[in-house]
Amino acid sequence: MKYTIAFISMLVLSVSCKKFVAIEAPSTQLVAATVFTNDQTAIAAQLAIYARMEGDGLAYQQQTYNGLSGDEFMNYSTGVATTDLASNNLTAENTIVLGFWSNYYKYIYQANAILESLEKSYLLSESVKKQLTGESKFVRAFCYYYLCSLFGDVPIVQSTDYRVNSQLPRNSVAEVIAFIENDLVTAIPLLSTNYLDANNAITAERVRPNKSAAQALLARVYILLNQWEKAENTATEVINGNYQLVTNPDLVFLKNSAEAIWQFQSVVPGYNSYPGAQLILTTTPTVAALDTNFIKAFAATDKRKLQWTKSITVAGKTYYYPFKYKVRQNASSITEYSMVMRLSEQYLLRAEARLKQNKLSEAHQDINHIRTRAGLVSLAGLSGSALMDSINKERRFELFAEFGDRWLNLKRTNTADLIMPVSKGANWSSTDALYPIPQSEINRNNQLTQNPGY
Amino acid sequence: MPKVLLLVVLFVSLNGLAQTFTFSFQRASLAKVFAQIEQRSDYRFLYSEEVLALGSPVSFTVNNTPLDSILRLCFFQQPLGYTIEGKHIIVKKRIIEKPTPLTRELRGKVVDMQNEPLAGITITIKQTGMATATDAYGEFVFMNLPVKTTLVVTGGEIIPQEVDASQNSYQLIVVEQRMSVLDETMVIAYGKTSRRLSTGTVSSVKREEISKQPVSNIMSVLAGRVPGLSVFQNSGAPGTGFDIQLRGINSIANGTDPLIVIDGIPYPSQTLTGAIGGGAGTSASPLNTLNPADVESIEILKDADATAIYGSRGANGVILITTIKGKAGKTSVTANLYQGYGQITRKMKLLGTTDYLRMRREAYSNDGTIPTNANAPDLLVWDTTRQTDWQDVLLGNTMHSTDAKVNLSGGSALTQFLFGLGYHKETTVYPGRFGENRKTANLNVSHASTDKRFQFSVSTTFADYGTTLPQQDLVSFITLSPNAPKLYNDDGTLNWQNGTWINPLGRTKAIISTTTTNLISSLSASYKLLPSLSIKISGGYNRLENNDHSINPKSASNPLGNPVSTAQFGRKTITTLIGEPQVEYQFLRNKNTFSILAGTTFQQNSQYFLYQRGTGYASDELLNSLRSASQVTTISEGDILYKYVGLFSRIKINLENKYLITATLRRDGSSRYGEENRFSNFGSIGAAWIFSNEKWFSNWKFLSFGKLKGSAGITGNDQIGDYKYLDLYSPYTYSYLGSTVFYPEQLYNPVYGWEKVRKLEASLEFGVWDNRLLGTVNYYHNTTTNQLVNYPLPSMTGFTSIVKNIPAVIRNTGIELELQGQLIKNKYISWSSSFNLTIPRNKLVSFQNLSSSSYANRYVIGEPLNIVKKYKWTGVNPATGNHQFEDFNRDGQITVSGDQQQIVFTGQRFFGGMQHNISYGRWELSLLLAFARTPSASNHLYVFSRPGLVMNQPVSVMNRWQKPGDITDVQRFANTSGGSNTAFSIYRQSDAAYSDASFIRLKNAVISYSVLATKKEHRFLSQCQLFLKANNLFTISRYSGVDPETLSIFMPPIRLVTAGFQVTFK
Repeated sequence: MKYTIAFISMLVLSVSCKKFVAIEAPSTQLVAATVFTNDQTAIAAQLAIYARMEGDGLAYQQQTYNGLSGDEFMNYSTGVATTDLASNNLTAENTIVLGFWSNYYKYIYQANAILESLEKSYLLSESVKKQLTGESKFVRAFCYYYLCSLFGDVPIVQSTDYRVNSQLPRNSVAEVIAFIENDLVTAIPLLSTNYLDANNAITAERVRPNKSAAQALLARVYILLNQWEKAENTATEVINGNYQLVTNPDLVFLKNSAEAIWQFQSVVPGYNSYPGAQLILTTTPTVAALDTNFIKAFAATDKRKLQWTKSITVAGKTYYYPFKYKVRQNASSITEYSMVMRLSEQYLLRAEARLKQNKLSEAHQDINHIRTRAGLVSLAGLSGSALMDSINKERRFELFAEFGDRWLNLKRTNTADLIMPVSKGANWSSTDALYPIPQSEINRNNQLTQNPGY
Repeated sequence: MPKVLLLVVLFVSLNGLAQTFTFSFQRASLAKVFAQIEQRSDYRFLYSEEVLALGSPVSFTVNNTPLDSILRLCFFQQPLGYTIEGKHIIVKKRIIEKPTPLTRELRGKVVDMQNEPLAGITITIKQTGMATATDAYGEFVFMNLPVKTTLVVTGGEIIPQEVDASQNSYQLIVVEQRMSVLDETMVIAYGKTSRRLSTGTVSSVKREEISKQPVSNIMSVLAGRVPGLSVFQNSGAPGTGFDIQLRGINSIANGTDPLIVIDGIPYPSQTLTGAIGGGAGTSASPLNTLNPADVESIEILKDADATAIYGSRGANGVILITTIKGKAGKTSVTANLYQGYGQITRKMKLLGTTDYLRMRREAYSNDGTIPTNANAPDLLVWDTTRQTDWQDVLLGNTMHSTDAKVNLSGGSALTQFLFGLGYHKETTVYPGRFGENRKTANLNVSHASTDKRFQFSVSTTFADYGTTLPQQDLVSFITLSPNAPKLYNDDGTLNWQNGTWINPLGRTKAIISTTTTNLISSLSASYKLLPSLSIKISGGYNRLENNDHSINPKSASNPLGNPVSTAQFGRKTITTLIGEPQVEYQFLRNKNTFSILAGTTFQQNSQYFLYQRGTGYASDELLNSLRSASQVTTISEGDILYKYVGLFSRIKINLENKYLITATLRRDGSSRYGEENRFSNFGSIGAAWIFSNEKWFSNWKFLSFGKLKGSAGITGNDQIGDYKYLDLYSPYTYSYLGSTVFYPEQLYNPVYGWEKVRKLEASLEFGVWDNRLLGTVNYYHNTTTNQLVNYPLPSMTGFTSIVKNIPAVIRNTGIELELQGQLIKNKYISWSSSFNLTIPRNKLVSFQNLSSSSYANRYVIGEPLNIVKKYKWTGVNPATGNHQFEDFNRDGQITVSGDQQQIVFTGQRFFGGMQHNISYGRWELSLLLAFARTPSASNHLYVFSRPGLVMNQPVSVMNRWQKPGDITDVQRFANTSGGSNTAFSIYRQSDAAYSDASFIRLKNAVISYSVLATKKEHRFLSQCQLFLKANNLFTISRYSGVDPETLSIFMPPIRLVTAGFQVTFK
C-alpha cells in the first residue's frame, strides 16, 4: 500500500514538474512578440538602431577611417589595423574593416526584424506601422549604400533567418543599388515629412529619418545610376523642403541646425557629437589629424578653412584637426549632434545632375550657394569638365570629414587612381579602392568570395 | 581454540570455612582477591581465566569475616557462581535460572589493539536503538538495559563489531582500527560508500591532505592529487580562478566546468566576475568564499555510475565538497595559526641596458634610418645609463599570508555541534596595497532521536571575502625597456617623461575591489519509518552576493592625454534554492543486500546583476561614490531565472560482497530549453566483481584485494546559458529621444536539444601484501554527441553565433593509474607514498560538413579539440635575416587562408602527481610533486613583440641574424615596418609561438613536529603541533616564458613558506 502511495505521489510530482520548469521571460528584457504589441515599444525598437549607430561611433568611424584610407587624414596611431588602413595595406583580418561590415549588417538585422514583426502585428496603430516600415526600409537602404560603397558586391540580407542568411553569396553592385532604390521608393510615401519623437509626435529634434532623409539618399542613388533628371528632381524636393543653408559656418553643426537632414542624437555620456569628442586635439594626436596637403589646398580666405579646421602646436609641430564640431568632451550641455546628412550635399548633387543635363546656369547657381557661404567668389561661365572639377573640389572642401564622403566620391567618380598616388605613392594600387571582405566572414560562409588584391 | 586452563591445586586448610579474614579492596579484580585468600588459607580456587574475565572488579572492606560471607560479596551481582568441594572453590559461569531484572546497568570501555582508550565511538543497543558514545577515557554507561543486549560498536576509524553483553555489567571492547583505505567512508551522490564496495569511479581527498597546503582556495589543493583532474592556476594573484578539467573537453562550446556541490547544494562553478572585469586582468574563482579549513573531504565523481544520478549536470563530472561536522566526545577547541611569506616562482632572463641599447641601435642601422625623439625616446630622451629590472620592481615584492582558524566542537552520542571562525589575509607581490582577505564563520549541529530513527543535521557557513587588485596584471609591463625612466619625479608625483612612456605605477591606481558575501545553509532530515524504509529530505539555500567597484582615476594616466576619471560599480546576486525529498528502502536476503533510492530534485537559481559606470567626476576623491558622478550609464542589467527539476532512482545490489550492481535512472527538466525539448532521460549501470572474495582466490597469497568494475551510461550538459530559445529584446545602454530603446539581443533557436555524453568505464583495483600497496587502473571512453554549440555565424546574419545542435562527435579516452602504498611501517618510522598518472586523449571523431561550417579553420577531424592551426615556421632565411614559413598551398605567398595549416596541440600529453608522507617519532614530513607534459603552450611571444622595437627582450635574442649567411633562429633586429615586420607578425602567429611548457613542481612540502608525545601527556592540551608548510618550492621546466603554469599571460604562482602551530584544548 505504501509503495502505491509513493508511486502515485511520484506521478503527481512528474506532472507538476512540467509547470515548475516553465519560466517567464526575464524581467529586464522583452520578448519580441511583446515589443510589437504596443506603439511605444515598437518605436523604441526602431530608435534603438539610431542609438546604436551613435553609440557605436558610426559617424566617427566612417569619417576617420575612410579619411585615413583616402587623402583627408594622416595616421598617428600605432595600432596595426589603423596603420594598415592608412597605408592602404589592408589585410582581410583587419578589425576596422570587420567593424564596418558587422555593424552595418547588425543594423540591417534590426531593420529586417522590425519589418517582419510589423507584418505580423495587428495591435499597432496604422500610422506607427507606416512610419516604422518607412524608417526601417530607409535604414536598410542607408546601410547597403555604405556597404556597397566600401566593399563593392555584398550579399543582400532581407530576412532574419540565419539559416538562409549565413549562406548567401554576394550580389552585384547593380543588384544592391536596385534593392536600395526600391526600398527608398517604397519608404518615401510612408514616411512623415516632419521629424517625429518617441511618441510619433512632431518635434524639433532632427534625429529620426523623415521623408527628406529618404529623398536625399535617393538623390545620391540616382547620381550613382546616372539618372540625372531623377537625381535633380529628388534633390530639388529636399532643397525645397524645410531646410536652408546656415549662413555662419560655425553654426552649421549645431543640433537641429536648419541645414540638418538627419543627425544622431548624443548618447555617450560626456560626448556631444562622437566625432567632436574623438577628433578635437588637445595634445599630440593618437589616432588621426588632417593631412597638411589638404589644409594647403584651401583658398586662403575660405571660411571653411578658417572656421571648420583648427590647429594645435605641440613641441614645435603643428597638427590640424577638423573643427566643424566645436565641443570635445564633458561639456556642461549638449549643443551638437553627429551630422549624417545635410542640405549642402543636395546642392552639390543637384549641381552635378544639372551639369550632366547641360543645365549649366542652374548648376552654377547651386554651386555658388555653397561658395558664397564659404566667403568665396561666385563662379561663372564654366562648362563640361571644368565645372565638374569645380563641383568635385567644392565637395572636397565642403564635405570633408563627413561620413567618408571624399573616399566614396573618389571611387564614384573613378578618380581614385589619379589622386591617391599623390598622397600614398607606391602604396596605392587600384584594388585598394574596395575594402577586403573580412576573412572571418569568408571562413564562416564559404559562398563569399574575396575582392581582388587581397 | 581452547584456552589454557590454569589449575591451581594446593593443600587444604585445617581451619575450614570458619576461618575469618580482614581485607580491604578497592576495585580489585577477583583474581587478586582470590590470591589474597589463598595466601592466608588452605582454600584453593579453580577457574579458567576466560571465565574469571567475565567478573567485575569488587570493592569491600571486611573485618574478621568468615570466608563464606566474603565469597558472597565477591560473587554479588557477578555473572559467576561457585561451589566448594573440599578445599577447592570452583568458579563457573553462573547458570541463569531466573531472568535478571529488567533494569540493569552496563558499564564498559572501548580500547584499540594497543590498549589505548578510544573516544567518540558510538555504542548502540541493537534491541532498543539506544545509543551513546565513549568519553575521553573510552568509557560508556547504559542504564535500564533489557535482558538480552547486543552492543553495536561503530565509529569513523574502526571496523564495526557486535558484542553480546547480555550477561555482563562491565564490558571491555577491543576494536580493530581500520587499516585499509579501502574501507574509508566515501561520500557519493545521495549517500555514502567505501572504495571497496563502490561500483563507480570516485577519488577522495581528505581533510588531512587539504590541511597540508597553506592556500586560500580549495581548488589549489586538488592539483596533482586526483587522477583525471587537471587543475591549473590562472594567475599567482590572490583570488584568481583555475582552469579545471575532469577527463578532458566534452563539449565544443559549452562549459567544461564540473558540477560543484557543497553539502548537497549545487554551487556556481562559473566566475562571479561580471561586465566590469576582474582583478589582475583575469576573473575571480567562485570558490574564494570557501575556507579550505572548513572542508572535511572532497569527492570527485567521474564515471557514468557515479555521475548519472546528476543527469543533465553530470557530463563534466561532479566535485562534492563536504564541510566539517561536529563529533561526539569531549568538548574541544582547536586553534590553527600560520604566517607566511612568498615571492613569484619564476622570472625571465631579459636584456640589460647595454645589450638592449645595442639591439636598438642595430635595428636602426639595419633599417638605415635615423632615430628620432618620437620613435626612439629610449635612445634620445631617456637616460641611457639607467638599468631597472622591471620584473623585480613590479612582481618582485614579498607577499604575506596570514591565516587563523578556531573550531569548537563536541557533543553527545545524539547531538553534536561544531562552531568555527576563520580569518585569512594575503597580500601580493605587486607594488602597492593589494591583496585579499576572508572572514568565515560556520556552525553545524546534528541531532538524532534516542531511538535514532529521526536524524537531523544543519550546517551554515557564512563568508565575507574581499580583494583589491590592479585591473591590469603588471606582468604585461616586463617588456619595459631596461633604461625606461624613473617611476617618480622628485616631488613624489608619477613621472610620465613628457608622455614618452606609460608609467606602470599608473596602472596600479586603476584598481578593482571586490567584496563577496556567501551564505550556504544546508539541512537534511531523515526518519526511519521501518527498519528497512526511511524517508529523507535534504535541501539548502545559497546566496552569493558580489560587489565590484573599479576606479580609473585621472592620476592613473598621463595628464597630457587629458584623461577623465571614471568609476564602475557592479552587483551580482545569485541565489540557489534546492529541495530533494527521497525515499530509501533497504533489505537483506541471506547474505545479499538490496537498496532502492528514489527522489526528486527541485532547484531554482535566480541571478540578478547590475553594472553601472559613473563619469564626469569633479575629483578623483569622489570615485567611490556613484552619486558623485554627473552621468551614470548602465552597462548591463540582468534578471535570470533558472529552474530545474529531476526525478531519480537508484538500485544497488550487493551479492555476498562479491557481485555489486548499481543502476541509476534520472529524468531531468530544465528551463534552459525550449518547450519541446525541456525534458530528457539519463541513466547508467555499473557492476563490480570483487574476485578476491571468491573461495578459489584464497590461494593467491600476495594479492589481498582484487576488483574488476565497469560502468556505462548517459549524462548531459546544460551549461548553455539561459533563455537562448527566446526572441528577446534588451534595453540598450543609452536612451534615445528620451525613451529607453530595445534591440534584439540574440538570434534564437526554439528547438535546440540536449547535449549528451555517453560514458564507458573499465577498471581494475587491486591490493597486495595485505593491502599495503593498493592500485587502480581506469580506462574511460566518453563520447559526446549532438553537440550544442554557439555556432559561429558570419556577422552578416546580424550576430556572430547561434545556439544550435550540430552533428559532431567528440571522444575523450584516457588511462588513469593510481598507486598508494605503505613503504615502511615500524615502531620508529612510517613512510607512505602515492602516485597518480593520467594519460588523456581527446579527438574530434566526426563533424558533418566541417569544411563548409564556421569551424572549418578551427578544428580538424581526427585531431583533438585543443589544437590551434598556425603557420609553420621554417627558420630564419640566411640571406635576408627574416623569419620564413612553410608555404602549404604553394602559391608563392604566405596567406591567412592558405598557410595556417600547422596543427599545434596545446593540451597535456599526461599529468599527475606523487606524494610522500614520512613520520619519524614526533616528526612528520610530507611532499607533493605535480607534473604535466605540455608539449606546446603559448610562450613568451604572447607578450614580446619584434626585437628591435622599444621593448625589452629575452637574452636569447642576442643570437640574432646579423649578416647574410648567418645561421640562427633569431630574426634580424628591425624597427620600421616592412619585410621584417610582416615576417615577425607571422612568426607570432606560427608554431614558434608555442613551446614546451612541461614541468615538475614541488607543489607542497610540510614539516611538522608534535610537542606532545601522547594525548594523555598534558593536562589540558590533547595536541600541540608546530609546522612549516610551503608551496611551489621549486619548479623544473624548460618553458620559454614566465611560468609554465600561468604561461606568460598572468603573474606566475607564488613560492610561499609559512610557519605556524595547531593546538587542541581538551
